[in-house]
Amino acid sequence: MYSINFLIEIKMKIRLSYFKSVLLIFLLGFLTVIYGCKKFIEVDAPKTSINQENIYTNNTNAISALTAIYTKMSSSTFSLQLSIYPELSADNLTLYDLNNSAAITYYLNKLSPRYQTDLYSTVLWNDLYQYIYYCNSAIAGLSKTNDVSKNVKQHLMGEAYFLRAFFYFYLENLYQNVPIVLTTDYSINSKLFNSSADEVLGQIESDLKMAQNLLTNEYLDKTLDNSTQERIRPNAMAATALLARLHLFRKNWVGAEEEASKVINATSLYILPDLRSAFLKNSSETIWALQPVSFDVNTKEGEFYIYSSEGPNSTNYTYLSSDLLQKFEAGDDRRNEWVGAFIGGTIYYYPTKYKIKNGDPSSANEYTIVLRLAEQYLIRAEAKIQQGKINEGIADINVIRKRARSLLQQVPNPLPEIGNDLTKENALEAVLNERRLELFTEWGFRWFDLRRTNKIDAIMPATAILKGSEWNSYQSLYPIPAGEISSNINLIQNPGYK
Amino acid sequence: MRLTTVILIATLMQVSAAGFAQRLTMQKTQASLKEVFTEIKRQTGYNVVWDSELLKNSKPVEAKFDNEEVCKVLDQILVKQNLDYTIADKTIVIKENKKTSFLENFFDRFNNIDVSGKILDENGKPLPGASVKVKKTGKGVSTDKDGRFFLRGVEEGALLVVSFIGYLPKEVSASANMGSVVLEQSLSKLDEIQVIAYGITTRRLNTSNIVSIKGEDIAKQPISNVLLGLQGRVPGIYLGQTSGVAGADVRVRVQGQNSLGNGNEAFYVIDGVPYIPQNLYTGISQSILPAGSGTLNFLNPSDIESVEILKDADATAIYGSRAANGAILITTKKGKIGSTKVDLNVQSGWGEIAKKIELLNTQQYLEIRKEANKNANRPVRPTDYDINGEWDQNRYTDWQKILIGNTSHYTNVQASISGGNNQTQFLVGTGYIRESSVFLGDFANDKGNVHMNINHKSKDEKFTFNINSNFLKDQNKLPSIDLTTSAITLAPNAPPLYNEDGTINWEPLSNATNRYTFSTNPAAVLLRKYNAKTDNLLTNTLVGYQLIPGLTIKTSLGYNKLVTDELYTNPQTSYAPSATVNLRQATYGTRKIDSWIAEPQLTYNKSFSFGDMQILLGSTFQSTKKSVIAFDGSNYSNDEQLENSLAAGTIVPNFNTMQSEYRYNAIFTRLNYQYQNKYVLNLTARRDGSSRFGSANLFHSFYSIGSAWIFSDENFVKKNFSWLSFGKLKASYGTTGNDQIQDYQFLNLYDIYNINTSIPYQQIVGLLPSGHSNPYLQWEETRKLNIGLDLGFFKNRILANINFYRNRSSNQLLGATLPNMTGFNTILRNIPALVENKGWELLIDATPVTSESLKWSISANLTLPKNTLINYPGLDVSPDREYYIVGQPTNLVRTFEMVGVNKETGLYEFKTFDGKITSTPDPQTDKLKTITLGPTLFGGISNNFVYKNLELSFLFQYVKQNARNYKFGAVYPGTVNTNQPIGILGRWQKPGDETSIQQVNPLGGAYQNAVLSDAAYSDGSFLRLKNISLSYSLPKKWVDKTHLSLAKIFLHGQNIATITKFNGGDPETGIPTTLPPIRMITMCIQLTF
Repeated sequence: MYSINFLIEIKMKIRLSYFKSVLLIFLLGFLTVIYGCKKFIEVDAPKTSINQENIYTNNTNAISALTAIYTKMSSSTFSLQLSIYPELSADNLTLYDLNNSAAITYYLNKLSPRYQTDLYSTVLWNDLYQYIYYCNSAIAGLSKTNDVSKNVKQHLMGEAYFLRAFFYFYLENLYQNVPIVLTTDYSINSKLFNSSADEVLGQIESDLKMAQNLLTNEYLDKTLDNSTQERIRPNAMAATALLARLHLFRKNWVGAEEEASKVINATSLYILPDLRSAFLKNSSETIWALQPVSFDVNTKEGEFYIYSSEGPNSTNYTYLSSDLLQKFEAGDDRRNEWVGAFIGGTIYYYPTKYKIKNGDPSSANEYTIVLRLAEQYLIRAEAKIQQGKINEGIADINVIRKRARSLLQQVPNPLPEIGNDLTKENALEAVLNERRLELFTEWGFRWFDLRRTNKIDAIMPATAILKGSEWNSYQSLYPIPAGEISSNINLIQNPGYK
Repeated sequence: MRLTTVILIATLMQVSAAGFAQRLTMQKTQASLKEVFTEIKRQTGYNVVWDSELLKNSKPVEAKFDNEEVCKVLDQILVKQNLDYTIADKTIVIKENKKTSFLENFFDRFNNIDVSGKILDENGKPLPGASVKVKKTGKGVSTDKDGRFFLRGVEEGALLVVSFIGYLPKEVSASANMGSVVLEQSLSKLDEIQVIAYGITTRRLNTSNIVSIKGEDIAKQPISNVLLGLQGRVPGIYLGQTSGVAGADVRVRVQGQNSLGNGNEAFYVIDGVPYIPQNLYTGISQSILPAGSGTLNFLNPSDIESVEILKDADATAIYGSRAANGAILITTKKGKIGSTKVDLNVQSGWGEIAKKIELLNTQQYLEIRKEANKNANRPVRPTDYDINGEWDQNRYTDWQKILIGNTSHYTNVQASISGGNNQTQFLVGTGYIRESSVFLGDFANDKGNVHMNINHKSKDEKFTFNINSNFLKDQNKLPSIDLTTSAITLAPNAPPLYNEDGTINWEPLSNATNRYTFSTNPAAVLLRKYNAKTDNLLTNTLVGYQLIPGLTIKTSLGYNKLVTDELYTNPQTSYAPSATVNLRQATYGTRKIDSWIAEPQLTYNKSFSFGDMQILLGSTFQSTKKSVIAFDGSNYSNDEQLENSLAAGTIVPNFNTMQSEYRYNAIFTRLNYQYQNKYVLNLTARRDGSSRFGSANLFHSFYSIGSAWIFSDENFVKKNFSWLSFGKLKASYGTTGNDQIQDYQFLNLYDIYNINTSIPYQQIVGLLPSGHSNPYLQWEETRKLNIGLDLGFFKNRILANINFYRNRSSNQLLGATLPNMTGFNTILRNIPALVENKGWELLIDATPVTSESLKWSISANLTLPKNTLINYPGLDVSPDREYYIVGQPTNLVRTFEMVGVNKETGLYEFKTFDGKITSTPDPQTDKLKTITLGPTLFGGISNNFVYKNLELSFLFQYVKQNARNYKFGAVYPGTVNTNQPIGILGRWQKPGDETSIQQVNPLGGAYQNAVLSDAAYSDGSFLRLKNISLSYSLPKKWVDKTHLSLAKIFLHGQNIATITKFNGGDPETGIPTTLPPIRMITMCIQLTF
């Protein structure tokens, strides 16, 4: 036969390796299979639930995720706690109900770092870090997605960065050397060390700058496509306002002046209304507010601070300190407009910045104000004075005083303007005093101001005696909850706490 | 995409198979080659090409072929002519025999003879299907229906191994005409076949801890769940019936409870296809089937050939992440070589509850009730109908008899046709099982199924094909709740259930209109029905092709679809007429499990001078989709419309609605090495990927090593211990995993945030993460150690098998505490808590008598398990500290320690932690006693006698355990309209009484502490005559007169008698308010044509 011999020869040659080839082919086959393994066992998330895998696949769900943060801030006691507890710790609020075991530990500055007795110091810490988790999860989800439209994604990212900075700002001011958590990975986060105050503040600053770039000055509606009158989603100005405050707290006077000026100069958005309108829904002073969502409640502040007909009780358990009340000068309308009195056997004074105790939230007339213009004037005033521009600073204080000046003519020379001949020290004293009178029972300002201006150890001993307590300077920071330290050995307790 | 690879492989194999399809039929003697070639061309359409020079010297041939493959025809006619051929492209080229088929050539280089012969048994009957293999090359054939075999190209004098299941293998040297080879029947169970993961072995050679139960033992039991057929028969596995209600789940624990927080279910494999043992949760069936319904109910026990329980690492590591809790392999019946036969099996019988609880009669009941009221200083209230005269004070009804005392009827009809030649075997069967309930009313579980099996192999045995298919339809009609609770608690003087006209008796209050005294009438509950309809399709295919001798590629493909439709209806008529509100309700549910699996495998067997080697390499692709769609309807206008969801005024989705997908992928390998059938080594490895685990831990590897030494084959043993007929020492160690967690646990789920929210923020519904996701979630891992000794005495008439096991499970998936700074303070995570299960297993099979007329065999087994929580880091800060104690078993309860009844106050008293005695102990500090639940010893003994045509077998099951007793009744003694166990009569009555039962008091007294005390538990051990079976084969001379080949009559009994000290319900279910297992007696006729 023709070429059969030749064929046989070839076959003889390959024959020996035939068995090997068979094995090789199958090994190759298996390798292909293994290569495909990972793909095969990665399943899509179930359609019957919403999860990290599918929430950022459309605008609606993505917006829902961020909006829920505002809902929770508004419906929970979060904003209220940040108002009550630091004010109780400082000298603006007096505790009426001494049986309130949570409030009294703040009031007497006796927060305990010991396990099982630290129930109260955990509240703010836990809440703030949970909000930070939400922000981190939003940032992670949004950065990965391409399914959310570009402008919505950009705005939501901006909101998430802004909110993260906002929450860290309070963590830093309450606890100082807090760990910086920037991801959702619990395995890393549960082992983090404390960061220095400077690192935390630096992180806040960088988040705020991101937010400034990502956000616009517009207030947006639920679709994030159209602008609205409702100032209940933070815009770029909210980031700027918070950045101004941050610079002030970091003693970056130039930066503080610069950022505050941006807000103050945006007169098309913000002007100071009269005192009575300052806390109304979408007032021209509002930079960012929270919309009420809870049943039969306008603002949590109104519900808490305003007494029912029986006066202070175990639910409305604080009243304004006599020390604060004494600081109001004659003719200061804030004393009339923002302070109410309950006259029973004893007279109890309470804040009435928010005037509605209960009401249908769908027709709420008052929103919880988070950032407002008056603070920006006071930031700029302090920043200018610190830079030696004392008169310019005093001019800013006087803007605030002017609004507070009583129009009633009963008082001669009501709440006069501050003159231009103050020393820097006196001018700073004046701005601090003005901040107390303007910002009392809002977001813990008094407690933070005392600490950052190093006046806390001068003022608190006397206050402590009035409260029936004793002041130790380490108490200017709250203790890190003991449970945190026991479950993360890398955390170090704030000094002084045992 | 991976699936396409699989399909591709399967398709390729089918292409190869097509080569054999050309067949030839010819009947010619002294035919010339030319004639044959022409005929081939005519019949097959193939061209045949030859050089006429080549055929010059050819001789005429015998060309008698009946539907023979072309290549075989050519082989036969050419081999003696010094000719050969090639087939390519429908052309056959005839050429000089130069061994050009390189494949054949290489491996059969030295072959020079063809071997033929016949395999017979001792009685000279041919053995069809016996295997004849060349020991060296592994090349082999099996015998045809006359026991004949023909093996081409064998080296003269090569060793042939002839083997057949149930016979001792024999080695003979090859010669051209072997004549008859006689195989000796093996009486020993050692040579019975054992199914293992991805293969088979024998008890003699296996290295693992495996127990096989044959289908015929299961068939002796009138049951509808195969798992119940294993009770008392297998060491190391505890099976507990959760309820006597048909369709209830069976609780299975292989070598104890390994996992603290997750699944402890064994891994089930039916004909190679993984099977999910539990149906999905809808919440609809839970009040009648407390543990849910087990899906093994949807498999006909009569279709089962054998069940293998794989326990140690050596047997289970190849299942990797799924078999930490052991594996249960179920093999269904297959067609066998032989003439076609028809089997018909009809069984019918009756069942009833085996045990009643002794309760108070009316007089005693009224006495207790009145005394209780007196003790509580409570006047007889207008609603105390049982004692205020509203209800007849002399009426007595045994509610257990009325409500759960009915006779259940059991019917089982099975028919099958099977048969086949040595190439193709088939079996087609169908069955119907009906089991009605012992409840009052018309309730029953009906199952009908068809089962089909076809095995085929090509004549050269290179290509094999096998398909199994099983479809079962089940309808389970049940009342919506178990009536046992009513049966043991309803007041003995409660009114009759029905009025004379058959309507429900609500017993109107005398002197009042539209007020009724019997709103708890259990007959009303019977109107609320639960109905589940299930379809279960289970099918699998195995396709194999031998590439070269020893090297086989095969692929198994499996598919399972299980769909259950559930309906629960709650008609208005089930409420007393005083109810004016529309209470009609219905729940509709559909649960689906849809699962497929593909497993390509490659096996290579080769014998070397240094031993026999078997290599398995395979891969698994599996996908399981589950879904539950359930919704609740209300506002129906009438009861007739409850089954129609469209008639509901309001439909609300039920929160159990879900869907999930599980995907699983693995590669696995096993190397088996045997040397002189004396030393066996088994190495297994598997790498698994599962979609249930976090992205950071998708894959994990498992491995095992197993070895055996058959020391009885050593010369020194043979010499010195001649009474020892078999001795094997085996040991194995390895890892397995448990992936029985819910799907998507690693996902970060979002909840709608609406806490304390009445209007949404900006009208947007908020969504927030509900907790941490854990991308590191991974398998719970069990490290298994097993050491076993197998001994055979007196020619293996006694076989003993002792195993020691120690399984340590770690990496437990539990909730762990995290710092809040991570966002949430708990996470599901792998914790290095360590659970140990160790124990001894003993199995003895003996045949004390084996004579012509009488054969007696015994099988006895014993298990001594011990479970310990060795370690649990962080237990003291975890909520789990309530349930576990390090160093103690995991299934314990903490209880108060009862001291007795205070003689003065008549109240129960307990010890406190500081040594005081009180009636009001503190649950936080005073739970001083721990009681271990679960069996501490269990086993069974079965006997089998065959005397001429009679066969008798019975099985005893025994369990030593603690269980919750019924000493204290269901609620406070003295509670209105609630009967009590008879023991309550010994209550304290006046100061000074010494007794163990406190005063009866509708306010409880210290009752609620007593049920939390050690006195609420007692010895729940029992010995039960689980099964008895008597059969009689009709004499051959009678049978022969008909067309029958076999006729047999059976009497079967299940749960016949129980010996126990237990003061409660059935010690097996352990819950008195659950229907106990049914005592069943059936008659059965088996006919084979």
